[in-house]
Amino acid sequence: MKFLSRVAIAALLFGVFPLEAVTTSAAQNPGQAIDAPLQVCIDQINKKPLTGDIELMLVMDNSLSLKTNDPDGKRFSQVRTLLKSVHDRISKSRKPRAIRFSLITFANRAIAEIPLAEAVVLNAENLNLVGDEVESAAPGNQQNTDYVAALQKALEEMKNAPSQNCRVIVWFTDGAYWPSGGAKNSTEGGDLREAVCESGGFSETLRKLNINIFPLYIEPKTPDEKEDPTASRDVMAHLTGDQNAFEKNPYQPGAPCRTEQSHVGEVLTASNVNQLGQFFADLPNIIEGGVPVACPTKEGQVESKPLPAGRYVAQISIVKYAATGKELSPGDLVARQLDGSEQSLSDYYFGENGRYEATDKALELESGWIIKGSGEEHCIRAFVREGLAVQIRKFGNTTELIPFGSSKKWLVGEDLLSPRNDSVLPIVRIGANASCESRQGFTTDVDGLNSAFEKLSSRGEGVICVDPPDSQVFPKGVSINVAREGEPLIDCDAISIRRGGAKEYVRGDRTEQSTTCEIDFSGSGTKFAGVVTSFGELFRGDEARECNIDIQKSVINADSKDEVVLLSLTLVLGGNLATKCNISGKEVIFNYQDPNGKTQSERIKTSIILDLQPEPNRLKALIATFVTVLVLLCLALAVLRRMTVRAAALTPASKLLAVRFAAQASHSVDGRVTVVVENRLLKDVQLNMERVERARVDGSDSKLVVKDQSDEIIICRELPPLRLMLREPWAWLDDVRPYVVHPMGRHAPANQNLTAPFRDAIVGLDDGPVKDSKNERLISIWVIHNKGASGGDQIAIEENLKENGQALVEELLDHIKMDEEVTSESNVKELTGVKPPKIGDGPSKDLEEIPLPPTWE
Amino acid sequence: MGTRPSRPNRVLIAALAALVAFGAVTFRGPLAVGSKYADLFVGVAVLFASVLLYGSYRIKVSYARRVRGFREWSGFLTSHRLMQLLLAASLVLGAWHIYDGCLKIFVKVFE
Repeated sequence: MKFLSRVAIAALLFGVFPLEAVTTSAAQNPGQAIDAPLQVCIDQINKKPLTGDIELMLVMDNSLSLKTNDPDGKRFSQVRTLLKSVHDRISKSRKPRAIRFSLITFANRAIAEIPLAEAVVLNAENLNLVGDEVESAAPGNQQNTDYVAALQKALEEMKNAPSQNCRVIVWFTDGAYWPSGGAKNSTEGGDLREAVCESGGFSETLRKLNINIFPLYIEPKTPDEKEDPTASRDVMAHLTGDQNAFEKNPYQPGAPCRTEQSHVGEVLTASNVNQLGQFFADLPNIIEGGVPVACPTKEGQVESKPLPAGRYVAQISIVKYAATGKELSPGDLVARQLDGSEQSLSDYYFGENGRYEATDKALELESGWIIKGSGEEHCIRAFVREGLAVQIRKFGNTTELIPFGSSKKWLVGEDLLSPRNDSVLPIVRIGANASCESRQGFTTDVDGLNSAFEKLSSRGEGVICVDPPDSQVFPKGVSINVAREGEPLIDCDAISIRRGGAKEYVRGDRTEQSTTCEIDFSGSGTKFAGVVTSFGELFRGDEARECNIDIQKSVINADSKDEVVLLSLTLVLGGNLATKCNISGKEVIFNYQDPNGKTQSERIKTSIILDLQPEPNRLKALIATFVTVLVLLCLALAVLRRMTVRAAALTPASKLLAVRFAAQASHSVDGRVTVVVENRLLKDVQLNMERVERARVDGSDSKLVVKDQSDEIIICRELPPLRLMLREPWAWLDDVRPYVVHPMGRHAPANQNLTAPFRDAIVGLDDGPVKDSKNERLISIWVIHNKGASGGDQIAIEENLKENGQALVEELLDHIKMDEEVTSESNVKELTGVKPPKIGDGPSKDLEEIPLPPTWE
Repeated sequence: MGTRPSRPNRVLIAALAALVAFGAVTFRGPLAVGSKYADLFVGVAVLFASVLLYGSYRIKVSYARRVRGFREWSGFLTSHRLMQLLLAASLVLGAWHIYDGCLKIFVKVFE
């Protein structure tokens, strides 16, 4: 796997929390260019973190070249992996944020398939659907690869994102710039470079809008001469500010792309589409601020750079980059201390799915420890600890830093005092301008702490600089909250209520609960003195009404327990209405008594974001659904029944005429068959309707029973009940005698049951052999016709009998063993008075009587 | 009879599969229908059409068995089993769409 850019991945870092990092190459290869820190989710002007939702935009190549570079469409499964892993990780992180996914496809033009304004908020239910949409939107079937159009569209869309949101573009392409009309490889200038690199170009706009961009570039297998690969690489390097892009260190683009840019992304180069999967698998770690410490590992060896003390490394991630081989876990690696002692990494870090949390034993890992082992190519990242807090406390003339808050155990035993010359680790700096790189802020020696105690604002900040010498892991240090003695520790940024979505309803009790803010008064010498603000003061009348808030019932909660106060909001909605609400910029004020008994105030930001549908009456909805479904099913089955009747070609019995003839068939030695009906050869037969036997026909559209004059059922057809319709719509009751039906088009093989079509038919049934004869059999012939056939019933029957009777009987005899010796008396039948075998169904009560002639001559 | 036996009707199978897919993509996600009437319409259409399609398939199979013979797919997934699965899926999806539509219609009236 040739990924020189994987060195660059070491700095690939954008995230939930504002972070900066440097590439591993800088530390490991001193002669090479040092990449500027990657700045992700940070306002480029004031360097403040962007704490809103994550706007994840996929800009997907849709050009024909994908047919060559990714014929099996593997990119789609990898995009699905990306979506799932990003969603799973971010939703489970300490500070979950919504991930708003938008999609742009491009080839000769760019199309916003999922515009940013209609971005899909990723959740567990829609991941597959979003993946399907990507797959259908970018099949790779269009001409050209116009990067200018793609970037222009992406930036146009990104402009619409709220300014507090973290904006990330993942730009996937497998080729090079190939606009309509073609291009050629160029070393400088050209439309693409000018559009991106010149003043006011895409690069500048990108930074103005605080957008991070990650081009995922698959090297084309067979570059076309109409492409401009050099310009493509130049603009990718310029857009990202990645100096180590494309295996060059530093990368030297052509004019006008030589201007230095801040580092807002990384170029990820894969030699084929399979390698994208590894990048995607690591993306959640990158989003959450994982800093590469051994990435990528080389030549089967794993060795990280020297790491800060284990107390500051809250988590590590281990992702296999190689396509083959075993994925390493902490059990496969060791932690080596500076004194050379080694212990399994699993003793210090424990977890699953590639993410491992520090155990208490990690406190033993001293600054400069490394991770060692062997295995295929992997990427190991470290995550900085958060939530550390200290208090500046005065004991007489001495001032000390005392760890406190929920994460204080990680600072226990640590020497937080650092001299002015900062020669001892860890270096602690406090104050709003505290920085590890410039060593700004108050030192934590006596003078510094005294100054800090006097000058620190009410809610102070600070950093602990923890990187070992010659190794940069957390160059900005570890953030700490700093409170002066006599101030409580506020362990939250804000109190918020946030719920919304098309399937989110107003709850039955109409209440919404906010996040909780923990305020720790223990050990600070302070005492909680109550919340000053009432809910009514916080949210004025109009605001509350627009937000459907019942001010009288909504409250600010302050629950006290063991000197810890939990502040939260309980919001009661005024009615069961569609509720859209977005209130921010409010502050809850609470009082406390400082150690001198003076009352002090503190403020906590508050926001309410609701987008709810009215709560439905679920029982009514369920009943209505049940009834609707039942009615629909009945209706559908009724239609199906009708379809079956039509398919069966049944005719109402009242329109049928069924006439039975007794016949005798003889089979001569030379194979000829002679059929005699009423003492005449079949070919000579002329009917006298008064003299033939006519049957009684009973039935309806779905049932037909043909009986002879003695009420014996000859043939019965019946549709099954509804419950059987879907199992066997043609479940007929049948005569069991061998038979043949004509015309051929509608009948079954003679040895199977009688088929459904049952009109204009002629049926031959075998009544058994003539007594003492081997080659003569008795045959019943039924001619069934619609009443009132053209030319009259008699002529129609006569014609049908003449036309089909001979062939019918011949076919019937073919199915009967003519040489069977007849011995049983019960099988012997006379020509007259033949009674066909009875079948299971009894006679119907509402038979329609059809007059029968008195005798059969 | 000399004629080749019939095979499962792929058109009907594909149509029912498409119906299930339609019911699924319009259920949640970017293509989900939003209004109560759209939900109801989709639910009724999916439910009704799936029963008819399945019934048509059964009629064809039954007729084929009696007239020309019927040759089922080999292996575990017979066409009959597939159609039963698709029918079940479409019934559930259709009912759920109708339920979603009903939820939007029957807004609870609080005190």
